[in-house]
Amino acid sequence: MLAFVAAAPAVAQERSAIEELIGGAHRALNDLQYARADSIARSLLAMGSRATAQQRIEGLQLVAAALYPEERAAQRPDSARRYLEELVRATPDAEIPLAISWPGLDSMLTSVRATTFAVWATPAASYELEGADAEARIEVGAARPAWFRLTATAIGDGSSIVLDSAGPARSATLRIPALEDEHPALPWGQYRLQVLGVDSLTGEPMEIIYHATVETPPLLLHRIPAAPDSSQFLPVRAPRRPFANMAVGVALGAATALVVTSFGGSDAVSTTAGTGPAYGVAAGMTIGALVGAFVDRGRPLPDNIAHNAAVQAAFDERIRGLREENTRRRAEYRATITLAGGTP
Amino acid sequence: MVLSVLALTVIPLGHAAAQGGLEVSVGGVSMFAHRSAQFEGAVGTGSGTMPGGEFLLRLRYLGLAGRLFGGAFAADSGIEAVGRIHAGDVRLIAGPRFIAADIGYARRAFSGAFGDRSWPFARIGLRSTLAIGASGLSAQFLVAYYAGLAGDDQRGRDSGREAETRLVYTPARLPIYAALGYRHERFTVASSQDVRPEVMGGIVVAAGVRFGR
Repeated sequence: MLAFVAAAPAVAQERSAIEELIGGAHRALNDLQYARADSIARSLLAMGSRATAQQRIEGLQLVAAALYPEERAAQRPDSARRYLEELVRATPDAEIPLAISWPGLDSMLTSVRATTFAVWATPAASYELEGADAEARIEVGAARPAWFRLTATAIGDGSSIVLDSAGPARSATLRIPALEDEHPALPWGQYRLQVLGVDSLTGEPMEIIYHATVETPPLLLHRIPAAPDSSQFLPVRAPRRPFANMAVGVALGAATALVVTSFGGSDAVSTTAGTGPAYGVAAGMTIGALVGAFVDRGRPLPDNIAHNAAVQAAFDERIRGLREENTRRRAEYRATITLAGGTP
Repeated sequence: MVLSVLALTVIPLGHAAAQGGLEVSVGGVSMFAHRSAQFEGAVGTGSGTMPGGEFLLRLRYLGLAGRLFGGAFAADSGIEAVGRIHAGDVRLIAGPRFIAADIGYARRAFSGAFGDRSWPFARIGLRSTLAIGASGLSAQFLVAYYAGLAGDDQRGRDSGREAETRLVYTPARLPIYAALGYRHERFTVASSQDVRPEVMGGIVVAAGVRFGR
């Protein structure tokens, strides 16, 4: 806390000093002291990360203006072009402020913009991902059609994962899903996040690096079994009894034959009664019964069928509850991704 | 017409009854019979078809069954077997399906050259139904003895016996049944002058609607 309190004025002082440098460079340009303006602006650029991105852009604009003034003798176009290329890469749509510009410098900027491959990205500083299907979206663009790739490299073990890719296109959206296959796409930790753009025609690459702090708790879901424990089910049919059933069939045929041969009696009316078809019917019934005995799958057991239905119903109910709980957990899932940096 | 009546009345009632554990079946039956009859010492034979109907109501160990069928017989030899035979009965069934008593009242009528006669009988029988697994097939056995009651001759000495076997098919998913079987019966009518035996046998086919079991 004390360190933070002590550091805050120091940062403010440094910012003020940089503003002084910018003001000094402007005054030198106004006084046509191009070499001095160039020197002051370069000292600003040398401050690196202590300068803000905007201050760095202003520094590049001042250096370019100092290296390519209207005064022909002071012009150093090759050097000016180099700084303008750096300016275009930092902010592809940047202009030179009217106060330090002139038509020749504007023409050179236009020329540089046309020939310089630049990639830019506009991520949010922080993403609050709500729900398992949420994703962080980073809009990216390029000066010319390009392939884009978003890669995260864990700070520590150095393992990398390609999160998304797109192209070739002038602009695209790269996504970081909160979850992939129910697991965090990026486990909790610190990452070096690289947005890489590759010119689709020349193959020229350009990258933008962010520092990402990822807070992705694991998603704890219930495991959903596919089916109830099979040991809970009872057989739904009684064991087959083919021999007993065949015996019934044989008995049916035998009984029919017995009726014909011995039931009627032995007098005149019995011996003249037609019994021929009876044997055919007896044979047909026996064969039919034997076929029935052969194809029989066993007697259904209603009590066991009801028991199994109850087991299945209880299982379905339990699964429904687990699915609802998983749905709730997925909906309530929260993750945070915070980005810093963004330097080409 | 008959089928329409069945569809409109029996099927809904049967379906509702089956829900309560009642076995209900109503169907048509036909016997392709050969008859041999003796009259005053002469024996004649004839053939005929005897269509009719049958029903069964059964709740566990108790049931009610009945049938009515009949038809004309043409002579194969002689004239003694020529005429029309009609038979009908109503029976009480008591016992489990595999063996049950089949007891009731039966009546048999004859119309022919010798006039119209009918004979009442007390019928005592046994029936057995054995399922052939879960194939939908079952074997049915039926034997019965007929004891004459006071008939036209008021003597009550008439008697008869019958035996029938059937193979019945009942599909699991359709409320119907079909049966093929053989029936054999013998009756003896005793008049004041003589005894007149007759024997009839033939193929039986039956089909109808059935609910429960």
